[in-house]
Amino acid sequence: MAKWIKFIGKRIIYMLVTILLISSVTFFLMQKLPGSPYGNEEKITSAQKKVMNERYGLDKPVAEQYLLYMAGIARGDFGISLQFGDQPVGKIIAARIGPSVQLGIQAIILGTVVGIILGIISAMFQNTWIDTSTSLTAILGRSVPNFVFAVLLQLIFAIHLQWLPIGLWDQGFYSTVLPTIALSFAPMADAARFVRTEMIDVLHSDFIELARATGIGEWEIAARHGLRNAVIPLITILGPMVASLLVGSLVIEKIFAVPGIGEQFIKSILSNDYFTIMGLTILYSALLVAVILVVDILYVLIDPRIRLSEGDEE
Amino acid sequence: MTEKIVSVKNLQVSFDTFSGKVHAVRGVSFDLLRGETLAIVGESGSGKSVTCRSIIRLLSKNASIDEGTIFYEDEEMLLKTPKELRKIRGKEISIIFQDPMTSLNPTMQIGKQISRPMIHHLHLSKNEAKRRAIDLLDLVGIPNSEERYKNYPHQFSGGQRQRIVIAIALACNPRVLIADEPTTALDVTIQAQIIELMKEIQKKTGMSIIFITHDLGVVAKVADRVAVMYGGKIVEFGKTEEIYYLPQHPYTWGLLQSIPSLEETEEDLYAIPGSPPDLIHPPKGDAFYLRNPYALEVDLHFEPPLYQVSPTHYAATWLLDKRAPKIAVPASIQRRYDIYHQRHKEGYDE
Ligand SMILES: Nc1ncnc2c1ncn2[C@@H]1O[C@H](COP(=O)(O)OP(=O)(O)OP(=O)(O)O)[C@@H](O)[C@H]1O
Ligand SMILES: [Mg+2]
Repeated sequence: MAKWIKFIGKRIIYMLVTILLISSVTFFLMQKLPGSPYGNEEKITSAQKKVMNERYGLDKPVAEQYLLYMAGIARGDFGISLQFGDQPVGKIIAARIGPSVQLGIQAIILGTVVGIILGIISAMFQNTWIDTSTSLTAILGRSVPNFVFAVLLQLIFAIHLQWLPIGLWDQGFYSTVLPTIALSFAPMADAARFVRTEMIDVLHSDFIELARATGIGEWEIAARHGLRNAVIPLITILGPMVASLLVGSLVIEKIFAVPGIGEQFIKSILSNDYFTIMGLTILYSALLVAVILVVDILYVLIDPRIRLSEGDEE
Repeated sequence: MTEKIVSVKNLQVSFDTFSGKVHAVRGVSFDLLRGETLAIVGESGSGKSVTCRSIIRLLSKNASIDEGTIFYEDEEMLLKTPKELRKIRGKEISIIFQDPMTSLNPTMQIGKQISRPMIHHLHLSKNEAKRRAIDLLDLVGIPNSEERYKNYPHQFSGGQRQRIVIAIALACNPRVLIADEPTTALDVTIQAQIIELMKEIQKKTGMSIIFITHDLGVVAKVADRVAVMYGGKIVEFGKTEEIYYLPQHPYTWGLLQSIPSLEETEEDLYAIPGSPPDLIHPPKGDAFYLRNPYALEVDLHFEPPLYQVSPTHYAATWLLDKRAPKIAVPASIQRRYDIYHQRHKEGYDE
């Protein structure tokens, strides 16, 4: 137990340092952003501008702004949106994060489960037409941008067959189906390709040969000996997978008119809404760092070879 | 019931590879007798593993068995369906491999790996299988078997892992154990222990063992009979004593000369010069021709037949032909002959 506290504590400290660095970098990059947050700049007078700058604290020296901002973050205050009616950034995020998280989780579960199945089938039928077609699917899923799938899905299932809503977030789970599928292609493709390679590797290892020599059938070998060994390393690409999902969701949310955080991000960038951009960047990076922590913990839990400390080795 | 438990006749196995058809086994015949240990000795690539894996048909996809028959008891293994084969593998005939570090599933408790074949073949319940697995761990000399049942492979040393692999192989009381260089990856003291263990178990269960090795030195400790393989063929076989003290084939001489001994220093250590034959285009004559200091003209053109040396001892070399010139065998081999004749003197006098 003490080992766990030490292990997780250490990771959390790294996490905080990473987030601190990312927020600092984001802050100073914001300073370099061309344009200003005030819509039609030509139309506002410099007096008006001055009042606004004072109000948002943008008139202070950069160093002071930085310190104020960081102090705010420490209190959980991410500043005020310059765009959306002066609401606190934290509140905007909180209001919008639900659909994004739901989509993300659904997509990653769907994507990895289908990906693992495809990868295993591919490996079991290595170099047959089955393998070729699943591999091809994976390559398509990886290389075709997900908005293409999104539009295709809308065309087929919403417009032609009319099975599912074309967009919006007003029919509960039904509304989530198409965006989830569109979003799941990338993680599915990644997982399928990854599991295929791992599984082929594992199926050629000595212990599989020994299992065969004990008379166990191929499918049982795949399930009992192959699966776990092939899927454990999948955890390592969970981080990059979540990252690509976050990016992917920006477009998908736009196409399906999902009131999520991705849409918010695009709007805030287009309007130079400094505090919202920073808040969301920090949120995304915190998410990623948290995923990496989860990955580390999962690894220790799932892989018997990894121990928190030596101790129980012989 | 015959004496033979496994009988291989004129086995020919080849592999389709990118660079051509590899003729890995080219007409091998041998019998494994009940309760005996047969050693198969030969350099790397001589076809030992392929020969033995053919018995349970555990060959890679690009392999084909082109000729021959393989009988286990009175069942022809080459006619079996995959399903029938699975009933024999691990139950009647078990195999263990060279490298204990990779032979076990790293993410599965070793106990589960031992009990699995028993649940599969003997239809034991989980609990019965576990009890037997613990007994097996005791048998192969893993202390604290009860607790260690739940451990993973990385928690054991190389020697212990090979013991566990042996436990898996023995789980269903097989009649035949194929041990494919089971001690090659282990250091010398552990080697001796593992060999001791196998002999002990054989004494208890009466199973037959095929012991593959490239080290003739190990063979004396385990084998009743020895088959020497070269280039996909058996070039000499006989009782262990006959192979050791009355070897006839120049290749066997070479192997005997390359056994490291305590008195010899590194530099003295002999290695047969040259390299094994090309198995994609096997030579027309004797495959050992190019490396054989005692080669005859005839070796280049014709393969030597198996000559009978004694009712139990055969060798495939033209040197045994009546027409062959008398040659002086290497001094160290002559010493072995002398020892043999010394031992059998009384016998000869009669
Ligand atoms: N899957 C395969 N594909 C192609 N060639 C193979 C394959 N397996 C074995 N061979 C070839 O068959 C020949 C005999 O191999 P085998 O493994 O039986 O040798 P061995 O006597 O067991 O040697 P070692 O002491 O190295 O284990 C070798 O020339 C090898 O290259
Ligand atoms: Mg081998």
